[in-house]
Formats: sequence, C-alpha cells, structure tokens
Amino acid sequence: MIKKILVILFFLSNLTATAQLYKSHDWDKAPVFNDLDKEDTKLASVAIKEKHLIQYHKPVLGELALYDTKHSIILVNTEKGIQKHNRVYIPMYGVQKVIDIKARVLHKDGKIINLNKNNIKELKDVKGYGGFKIFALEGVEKNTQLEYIYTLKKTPNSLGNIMIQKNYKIKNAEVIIRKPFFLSTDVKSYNNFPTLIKKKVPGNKIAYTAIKKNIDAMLEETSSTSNANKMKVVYLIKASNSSISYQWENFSLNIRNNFLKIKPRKYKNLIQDFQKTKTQFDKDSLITEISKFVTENYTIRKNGSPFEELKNIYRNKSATETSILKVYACLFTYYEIPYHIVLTSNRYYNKFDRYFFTNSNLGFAMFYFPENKKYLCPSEEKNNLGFPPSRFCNNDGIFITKSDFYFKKIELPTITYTVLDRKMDVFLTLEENLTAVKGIYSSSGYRAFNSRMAYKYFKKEDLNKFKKMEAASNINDVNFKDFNVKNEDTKLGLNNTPFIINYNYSTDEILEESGANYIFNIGKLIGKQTELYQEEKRVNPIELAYPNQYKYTISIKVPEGYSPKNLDKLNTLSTFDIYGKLAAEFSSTHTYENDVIHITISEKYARTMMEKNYYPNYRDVVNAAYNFSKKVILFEKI
Amino acid sequence: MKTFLLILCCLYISINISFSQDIQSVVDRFPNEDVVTLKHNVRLDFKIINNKLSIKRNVSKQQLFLTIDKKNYASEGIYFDKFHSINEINAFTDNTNNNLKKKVKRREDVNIWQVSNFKNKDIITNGIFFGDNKQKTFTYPAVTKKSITNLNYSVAVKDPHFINPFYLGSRIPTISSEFSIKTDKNINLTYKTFNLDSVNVVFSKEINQNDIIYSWKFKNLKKATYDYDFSPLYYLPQIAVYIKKFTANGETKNVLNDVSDLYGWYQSLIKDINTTNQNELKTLTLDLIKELKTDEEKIKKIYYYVQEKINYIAFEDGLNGFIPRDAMNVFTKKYGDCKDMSNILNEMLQYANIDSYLTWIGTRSKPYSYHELPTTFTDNHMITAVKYKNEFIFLDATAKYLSFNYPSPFIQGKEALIGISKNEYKIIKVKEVKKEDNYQEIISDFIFDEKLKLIGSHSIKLTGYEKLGFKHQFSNKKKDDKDFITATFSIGNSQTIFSNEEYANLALKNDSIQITFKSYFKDYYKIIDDKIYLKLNIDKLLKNSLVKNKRKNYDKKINYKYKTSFTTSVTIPKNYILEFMPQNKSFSDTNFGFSIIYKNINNKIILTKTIYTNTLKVPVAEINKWNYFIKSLSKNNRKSIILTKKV
Repeated sequence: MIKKILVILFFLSNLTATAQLYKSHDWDKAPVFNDLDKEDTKLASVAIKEKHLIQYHKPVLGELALYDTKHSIILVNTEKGIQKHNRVYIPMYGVQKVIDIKARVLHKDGKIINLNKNNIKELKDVKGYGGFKIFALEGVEKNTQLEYIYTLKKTPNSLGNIMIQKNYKIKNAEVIIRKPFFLSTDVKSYNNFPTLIKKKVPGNKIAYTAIKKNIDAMLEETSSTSNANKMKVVYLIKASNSSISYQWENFSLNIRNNFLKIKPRKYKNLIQDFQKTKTQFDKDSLITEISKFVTENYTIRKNGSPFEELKNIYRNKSATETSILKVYACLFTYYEIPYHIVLTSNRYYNKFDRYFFTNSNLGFAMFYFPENKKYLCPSEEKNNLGFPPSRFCNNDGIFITKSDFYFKKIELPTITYTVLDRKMDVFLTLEENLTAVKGIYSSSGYRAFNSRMAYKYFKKEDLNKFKKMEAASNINDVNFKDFNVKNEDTKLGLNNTPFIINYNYSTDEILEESGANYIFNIGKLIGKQTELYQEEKRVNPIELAYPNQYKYTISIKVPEGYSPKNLDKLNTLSTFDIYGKLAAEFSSTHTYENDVIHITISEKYARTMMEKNYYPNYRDVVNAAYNFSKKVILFEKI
Repeated sequence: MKTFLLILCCLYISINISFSQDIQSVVDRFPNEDVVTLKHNVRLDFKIINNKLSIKRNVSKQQLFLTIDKKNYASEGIYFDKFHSINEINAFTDNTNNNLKKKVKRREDVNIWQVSNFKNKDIITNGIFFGDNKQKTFTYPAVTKKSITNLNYSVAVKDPHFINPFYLGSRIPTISSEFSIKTDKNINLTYKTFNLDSVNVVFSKEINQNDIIYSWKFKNLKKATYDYDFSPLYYLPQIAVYIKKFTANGETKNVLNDVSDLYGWYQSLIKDINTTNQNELKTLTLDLIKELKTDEEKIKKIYYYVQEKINYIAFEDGLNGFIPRDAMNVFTKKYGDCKDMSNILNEMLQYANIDSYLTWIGTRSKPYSYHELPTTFTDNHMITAVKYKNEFIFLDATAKYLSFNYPSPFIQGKEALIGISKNEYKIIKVKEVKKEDNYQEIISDFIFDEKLKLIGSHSIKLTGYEKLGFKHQFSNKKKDDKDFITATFSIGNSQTIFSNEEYANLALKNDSIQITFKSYFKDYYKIIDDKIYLKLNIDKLLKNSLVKNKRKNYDKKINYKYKTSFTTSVTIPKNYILEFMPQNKSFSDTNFGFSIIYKNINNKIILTKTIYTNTLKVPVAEINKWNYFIKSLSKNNRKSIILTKKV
C-alpha cells in the first residue's frame, strides 16, 4: 500500500552512459546439462543458477531506466519438481516494457526445446496481485534442465527487494545491482546472504555483487516465521548521498503532513456527522465510538491512493485501507486525543528493520495512543482498541508523531493476557457407557477475540460446529444439553473481560467396557492437541503467535463399586527455562479424596521467541499435552 | 446513454419509495441477518436482429444492509469471458432510508451514491493455468445500516451454446426474485428446471403476437447453506435455457435441438485438429509397441506413456477451451489439458490400430444427462474411449497413476458421449468400479520385546483407487518424511518410529503396490498394575465419518467403493496370559458393513477386520443406518485385549 507513495526517481544527467548490462548477459548458446551430486538427485528439484541482475541505466538522451533481469537454470528430478517449476509467472508490477522473455528445456541427450513465444500469455490484472506474463515451459520431463531468462524495463522505483531463498535448493545464487555513478545506493543483505561488494565498473558505473553457493530450500516449519527468514537483498537508490535516517525523516514528514497535520475545522460536516451519534465522553470510549462510526459509515475499497483527499473520502464515504486513517485522524485531532501513526510489517513475512529504509517495512499502518499505550488498527475491521493483531507485534515499527518520529518494538501482551481456563465436573453412568460433563469455559485475550469472532459467525451459520470446536473438540459424537455464552460483545475485549461458556454434554465415546472393568479416556476431555514430529534438523528459530496459558480443572466422581487405577500416570511435567525464566511448561497433577479424582493441568507458553536449539524442549512440552490427551483411568471392579 | 440513465433513475426512485415503507418490516423479519436481497431479477431476451440471433441477459439486484457486519457484500464482481460481454452497467448506493446525503454541486443534496470504481480483473480458477474468465469488480460507497445497493447490468451472450443457467444459490435470504425469458416466436427455445419443488415459485407463460414470455416468480427464498457433499448443482434450484432452433431469413438453423446437435457442434470444433505433420509421434508410437503382441499390452503401453510424459496444464480460452490442441504439438510441449491429452492418446492409439475415440463427459459434479440437457453445461471433461473385447473402456490420461481398465473415480456412473465418427456417437454409462477392485490389505504382526516394547511388522497391499491415492501421496513425499506412514495409513503417532520401509511394484503396469515396514510404538498400549491393555485396531478408517447436523438432510457422497481388510496379531509375551478378548462383532448391509473377529491361536491373538462400502451414495433415508454402522465400528475399534501377568 505505502509502496505506492514512494517517490519515483527521474533524473536528467549529462554523464556519459554506456550500454545496458542486460545485453551483455545472455544464456549459453550451447547449453550444458548439469549433473547433480547423488544427494541432490533425491530432491524434487535443484536450481543450478538463480541470477538477479538489476541495472539503473541512464542513456545519453532520455530518462533514467531500470532493467530487471532474472536468469534461472533448474533441474527437475521428480513429478513434484515438474509441477513446481513448469509454470512461470512474471509479475508485471511497474513494468514499462518487456525487453525479452525466453525459455528452453534441455534433455540429457542434448535435445533442446525452446519456448514458442506465442505461447506467452498475459493476465492484465489478477485480483489483488496486479498483472502477470505467464507461460508453461515446453518439453519438461523428469530429469530435464529448465532455463529461462527475462528482462523487464521498469519504472525506476527507488526501492527494491530481491527474494533469494526459495523452497528448493539453489546451488548458485548471484545478485548484481548496477547503477550510474551519480546515483547513491544503499544495499543490505538479510538472513546470512553475503554482503554485496561494491566496485567500479567501466562506463562510470558502480556494481554491487554477491554470490552464495548451496542455499538450502527454506522449510515451512511450525512455530516459525520461515518466510521472513529467507535470504534476501534490499536496496535503495537515491539522488543524493543521503543517510538512511534522512530517508526515514523524509518519509515521516510525508506521513505527518497527511495523517497528523489535519485541520478539523475544514471538515465541519464530518465532525457534525459524528457528533450526531456520540454519546460517550471518556477517552477510551471516544476512540471506540469514533472507530464504530467510521466502520459503520465508510466503505473500504481496494483501489486508490493512500493519500486521497479527506474531502473526497468524506464526499464518497469510501476510502482505501490506508486513506481511511484520515477520517479517524480528523476526529482524534478535533477531540484532542493524542495519537501517533505507526507503520510496521507482518512479522511472518518481514522483520521490520529500523536500520534500512524499504517498503517491505511499511506494509501496515495503525494508530498508537501514547496516553493509554493502546493501538487501533482501522484496516482490521474487527480489531478493537488494545493490542494489535499478533502478527504485527513482536516487531519494531516506526512511530510518527506531530513533530518527530521514533522506533519502538510493538510489544506483545504478557502471558496473563491470553488465558483459557476450563473447569469440568464429570459424572459416569457405567451401564450405558455414558460420560456427562458439566463445564465452564473462560477465555481472555487473543483467544477470547477469536472465540467471539467465531461465535458471531457460527451463531448465524451452524452453532453445533462452534460447540464442538470449543467444548468437545476431541469427541466425535457428542450431545449438548446446555450451551450458554456470556460476554459475547467484542467491545468487552477493551478491558479484557473473559468470554464465558457454560455447557453440559454427554457422550458414549470416552468410556469403554473392558472385561469387568471400564477404561475412561480422561485425556479426551482437554480437547484435540497438536503433536509435533521429530524433525532431524530444525532450521528456523521458534516464534509463537503470542504468550498464552491453559488451565484445566477436572473432577471425576468415581462410580460406586469401582476403584480407580493408573492415577499416577496423570502426574506429568515437561518444562524448560531460558536464562532462568520459564519458557514453556505442561504440568498435570491429581488428588483422590472422598471418591472424587481432581486433576489440575497447567500449560504455559511464556516466551514467544526461542533459538532453534530449544526446539526439542518446546516440542516436548507440546507433545506432553498431546500425550495427556491419550491418558486413561481404569475403573476396576472391587 | 443519458436518457437511459435518466429512465433508470426514475425507476429506482419509485421502487425505493415503496421499499422505504416496508423497510422496518424487513428489519423486523430478519433479526439475525446482516444483508438481505430485496430483489433479484434476471431477464433473458432472445431476438432475431438483422437475421442474426441476439441474446441478452438483463440483471437487476437490490440488497438491503441490516447491519454493517458483512460489508464484503458491498463489493461485487460480475463474471464475463469471451462468450459474454457486459454492455451496460449502473450501480449505486441508495441511502434514502438512513438519510445519508451526498453534496452535489449546485443541486440539492442527494441520497444516491453512484459507483464509479469499476475495474476488470482476471480470474485465476483453481486448476486452470490460463483462462479468459474475468470479473468486473467494484465497491458500493457509503454503505451503512439500511443502505440499499442497486445494481443493473446487461450481458450480451455471443454464442448460443453458452447461455448460463439461472441458479438460486445466494448465501443471504432473498425476498423476491424473478427469472424470465422473452423470445421472438421464430426462435424455438426450451428450458429445463431443476429442484424448483424446494422453493415458493409461480410460473406464467404469456403468448403475445410476436413473442412469448416465460416467467418464474420466487418469494422468500432462504439462504443456501451448502451443507452437503455433492456439488451444489444437485440441490440448487435452477433453470437452464437453450435454443433448439431458430428461423432467420426464411432459413431454419438447429442449435441444440437434441444430443445430435450438441455432438455435431463438438464435431465441427474438432474437424481441423491434427493437421500438421504427425510423423514423429507416429514413429514413436510404433516404436513403443513394436515388441508387443496383444491389444491390451499396446493400449497399456501408450496410455501409461501419455500419463507419465504429458503434464496436466489447463488453458481455457474461449473456444480454445473446447478444441483439442494438435497432438504433435502436445507431444513436443509435453503438457496439455484434458482434451489435449485425450487427443494425443487417441491419436497414438489409432496409430497402433486400436479402436479409440474422443469422448466428452460430465464429472460427478454435474448431475445432468445428455438427453435431459443436451448443452455444453452437461459435460466438463474429455477422455478417450477404446473398444476392447466388445466393451468400451475409458482412459483418462489426466489422472496420473490411474491403472488401465479403471475410469477416473470422478466419472464413475456418468454418461460418456463417445464420438464414433463424424455423424455417429454413442452414449454409454461408465461402470462403477467394484469394491473388490479397490482392495486394501493391511497385515500387522506385533511382538513385545523383553522390555515390553511393542514392535510391529507391517505389510500393505493396495489395488485400484487405493493404489491411485497412495501414488499421489507418495509422489508428494518429502525426502525424509517422518510422518508419511502415519499420515497415509493412520498408523501410530508422532512418537512412533518407522523403519525398514520398502515400497515395491510402484510402476503403473503392476496391479498392486506392496509396502512393508517395521514400527516401534511408544505408549500406544497401557500397562496398569500387572495388566497390559492393547487395542488391536490400529487404524482410523472412517473415524470421522459420522454424518452430523444439517448434513443429515442430504445424501452422503462416497468417492468410490472399496474393501479393506486388516489382519492384526500379537504374540502374548512370556509370563503373560490372555485375560480378556473383546467380542466379535459385525454389521452387514448391501451398501456398507464391517466385521471384527478375534481368535486366539497358539498364544497369538489375531484380529481380522474387514470394512467395505458398496455404493457411491448413501441416500438420506439410509443416513441413520450409516451412522449406526460408523458408531458400531468406532465402538468396537476402541476395545482392548487384556493380558495379565502370570502369578
């Protein structure tokens, strides 16, 4: 969104220019089939080469141009490899002209099948993704070598982002960024891609280059931000040798002028519209009322400028995800509610980097209220005042004020914020194999937010799904007698009031007759649990959505004439600390008094970021919960 | 154009007045809804203009926003493609009911907020690499409580073979809807209605001097919930309209009078295929089969070759979505969609002197028969039929790993339109594969080691669709896939260690796949005091198959018939004796059933379990029986044997 506002560079210069670099880079006239090591042949596909060539070029006469060349050579070993690579999508965002697209497939016996260029198709505007040139490589079979090279002439945007690492192995990755002498450049590599080396090249040009061999495929791992952890290069081309902080300064100025320096007196009608609905006066309520008013009265559309004029937004009652902030800003300013504008990124795709200025840092805009340290995210339709959605937390952001800007981490709430507390009283009727459960479910924080949203949805669709999901997710056949929801109003999230369900169900699925005895699958009461598999080598650090904890208190009346066995197995503990502080824990204990078994379970995920070497510990805690879900109590006939 | 808009505006104002009076009654009637459709009218206009057919679809729709919770309904998209173009469109939000006004220069404020942000977007359909489907998208401005969005547009249907049926499938309630057809008398058209008995409808037919008007008026339509297994086409009320023939300039032209017209049209599309030099393909084919003697061997060789070498990539671009690409071209490119793959397969089989034919077919997602509805909406797929031993066998090259003599699972029981020659076709029903031909056998042998750890040796045999399904999963297997066995056969969990995995007979030519492996279970069985509790049912087949809630009101879809057998045995460890063995149990019905038999032979407990389904559909009337079957199976699956330590 914000990327559209970044300045497009146009320069006129008298400096001598040379030929475009892409012309000197071509594929081999006679291609060579690359043999793979034995290990690599077991992979679905391997890229022999992935070369990214970025050239800012200034012809003697004419404007600065940007040429973007990509050259790939990929060996496909399996059916899966074919499916992954035989279709190519080239994004046309910012493309002025396609200089060339060519592709060929080389067979081991030397046969070459060139792409028939007539088979390149165009998608002009795919919903949400812009335009694409697409083609299918011709003559692809198992054990063939795919090669394509394309050059696009683009609008010389000053910012770029090259994603190097992919979900397949790359044996040779190369990046070259070349630009005329008179342009200033900043380049940064991430996630262990080597730093680009700057050198002078003929024609008064500067080239930044880096090569990295044998980049493993990025694995999509659970509890990780694997996409954000991929090797990449970002660059910034500037007219003058200005610093990164100057870039931030400039950017914040632009944001400030648009979203912080709004004169409410120019929009009397807008304020009057709101005043007709306003009933509350304290600041939190006022922010919530403003949010409700804007959501109710304005529609968000996909297309348009993030900086469109407030008077047009007001007139059309329609804005983009970013420009809608102006309506809020106008009302906040009028009511003298201090606010900052925050820009950050989704941490699952990009870690905000205050030391580099690039558009991938700026994908998401929200408000921050310094007086109560709360956030409001207008583009998240259902989000309330409080903490932002967790994907925008645990990440830095730029906070822009009326006079200044600063960087700060957008903190996640602590472990006490998101709690799921479940109490269950269990009654068994042996002769019918029947288990009756009377339960109270109480959730807070992010968990309550999700439950409230789900309840709102399922209430109108099929409440049965919701009942099972929340109260009996590990039981197939369940019969609910009562199911009453309290505190469903999303506004209650503001002071973290728990979302509560009182329920009552029965099932014949968890109590089994076994000879003269009964096996009771107590573990099923805590719901479906995730299990994590033994992974040989964890690649990514652990990163959880938010800290949270579960508490379960279960009491079971032991049927008359029976004695409970296997109770000692109900006591379990899996826990680990990092730097002396609890990272995660699963513990279960029991007592047995007056024919009643009381079980207390506590599952805590206090830390959201952990180094990958903690993965076995983390997995053990998660699996301890899974193992508990398999626990049984035996009721032995006395 | 200006006059047109003006007329429309007047019309809306009059409609809105009548609505605004009733608005509160609608609000009261739908306390749990966010948006309702007040009106949705579709009119098909058929005319002969300048001796040519003109077909127009005029649509008019009004939606009332009762809350602001589903603002996504304020964004619309109207589909179009090479056969359908949107000619006129007008959309606006009417805020008369909530008195939200817009300033208009030099005029009084108005409640009408016009849409101007129309954009054409390409649509990527799942499974289609490149197509001509597009959408005109836009968002209504100023939508809030009690806003009424208004949409009016007209679509020109450029080819009479592609008149989209009218469906009632909205996810929000509709108060009033009308589908009507107005046609010149010299156009002979017909219509077929489906599932109209489930809705409140009044039909009328008006014969005028020059035209006929058919109309279906619907009142108070409930929202469609899509709570069923079969495709929505089985349930949605729908009206399909097609032209049988028309007279223009004194000449009568057939369009889709009957199946032969549809077939004739399909033939006209394929008459010029494979006209380039096909020698290389022919040579290759003859080379492939040169050592082979029987027709079956030849068919298999060619079929498996196409399955393996040609990759499925679909292009659906106007009529190109109906004309198979040149066989030699597909051979060179090594990719194609269903019709391209059928064509190259057909061509190669013919080089091998096999009686083979291009064949059109609707998959199981299409509930229509060719005779009932001889239109392009009846089918959606192309395959190749071969005449072998006086029987037609259907080959689907898009179904990678599918064995010879098995139709693809999703065309079982469907009508195939086999193109015998230019003027001759046959409609044959594809057979439903017998349960015995989709057989899965799982043999597991457990022993306890000295430390009472459970070690299993397993052997699995798969045929037919079981083999097909496995091959797909196997082709996606990662290099070190730790949970492959668990995910594929539901055996064990994250803590089960598998070893000695061997996969034999993976090649397509083999009838069955053989898999063997060893397993080390941790914590699968329970040792309580001096007893071991062990469930011999290690599988989870049909575990989540109980039909629940609203789905009970619809037939259950079964993808294919199958028979699975488990033989699971455990050797009683030293120092232990058998204390308890669950009872044998079975449930047997024509369409589905199971049997569980325990035996104790020579210190070995052997469980033999078979499960079968013998139908592609469980009708509503039998859902309770099905649920009884599932419950009974689950209950018995949960039973454990008990081994006690010898005293």
